[in-house]
Amino acid sequence: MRIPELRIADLIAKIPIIQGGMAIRISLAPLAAAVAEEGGIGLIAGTGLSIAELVAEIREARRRTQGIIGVNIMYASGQFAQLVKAAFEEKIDLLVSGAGFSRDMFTWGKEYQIPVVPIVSTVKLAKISEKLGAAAIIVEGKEAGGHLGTDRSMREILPEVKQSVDIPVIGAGGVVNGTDVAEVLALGADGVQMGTRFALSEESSAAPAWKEYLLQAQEEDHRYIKSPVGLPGSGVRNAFSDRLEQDAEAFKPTSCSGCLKHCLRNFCITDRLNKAQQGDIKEGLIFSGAYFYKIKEILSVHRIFEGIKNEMLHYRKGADST
Amino acid sequence: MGVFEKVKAIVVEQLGVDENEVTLETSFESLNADSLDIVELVMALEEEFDLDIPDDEAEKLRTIGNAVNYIKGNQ
Repeated sequence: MRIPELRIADLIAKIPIIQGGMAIRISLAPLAAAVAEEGGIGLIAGTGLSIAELVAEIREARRRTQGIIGVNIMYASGQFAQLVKAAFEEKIDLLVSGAGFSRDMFTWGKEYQIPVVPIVSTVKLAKISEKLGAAAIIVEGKEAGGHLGTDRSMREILPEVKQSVDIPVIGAGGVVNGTDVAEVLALGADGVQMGTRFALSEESSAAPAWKEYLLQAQEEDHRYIKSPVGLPGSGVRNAFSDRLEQDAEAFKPTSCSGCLKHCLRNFCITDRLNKAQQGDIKEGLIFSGAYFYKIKEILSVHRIFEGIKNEMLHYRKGADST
Repeated sequence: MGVFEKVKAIVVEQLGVDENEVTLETSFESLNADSLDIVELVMALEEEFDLDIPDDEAEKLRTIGNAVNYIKGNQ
């Protein structure tokens, strides 16, 4: 297939791929800038960063590339408004947000003339988003990593959403190679968002031990973990998640910085995600999409894009893609 | 129509509940409204009363009475 551009408001990505925002500190300036350099859209994960850190990452990404750089900030974060406004002051190219739904962010987007792209899992929320002024919609299914809002497949929801709205629709969840990208575009998507494939890149800011652990995990190691945010989180099992499954009370935090708007306090997610990112693969929380096991190698972002483009160019609709 | 009657009419329409179920003390939770229902409801109230209800304020609206008071205080 011919590789189409992805247009979101006035932004034009030559390759219709958004690199999903991965918190905490998995997708920072090095990854986002590398993706933007390849013609995709790079997202810095703002959740879990201080305002100063987020601003520094945005400036570092700008120093590295002229390409399209956005931020992903989770609505459930207690610092949501402050982080979004800081990114807008830095003239970020776009805002992506999920795990809860903000109406205010659309008002701020209009004020700053910055496109706002919500992550949704239902037709209903897609329509509300369009009405509120979303520049595009990311439709996320159960195959995605991290917090989930549905138990349905993206490939089921996406065509329904595409029929219901007139703004660009981007498919997220379970997309790991160029054949997947082509198939999702064939379902009517204007682009895709990919997370886990880029988490396992050289430029990702996850510790080498995190990447090795995920690379060696097997299909049956996939788990849904009850996140204190109040949503299921898709990840990979380890000593921490095993113990949590046996004893839901085992990791109740004794101190709290109040990082979330509402927290179930079954464990401290910020602490666990930070541990994992720093390489503590026993005690950390390892978020991942469901198809991590299809990824066999840690590659540079350039090689990931070369592979995807090659697979897309050779894709024939209806051909056996196994 | 007073504010309460207008709010009640919107709640009845949006949530598909019986109007006898809707009093000032009724919580949105007891009407089985999920977070998406609340978003839609708040948008309908904004349109009807020509006001902006920010996220933080919308999250504080637990009962019909909360909504009525918010509207009366911000018109």
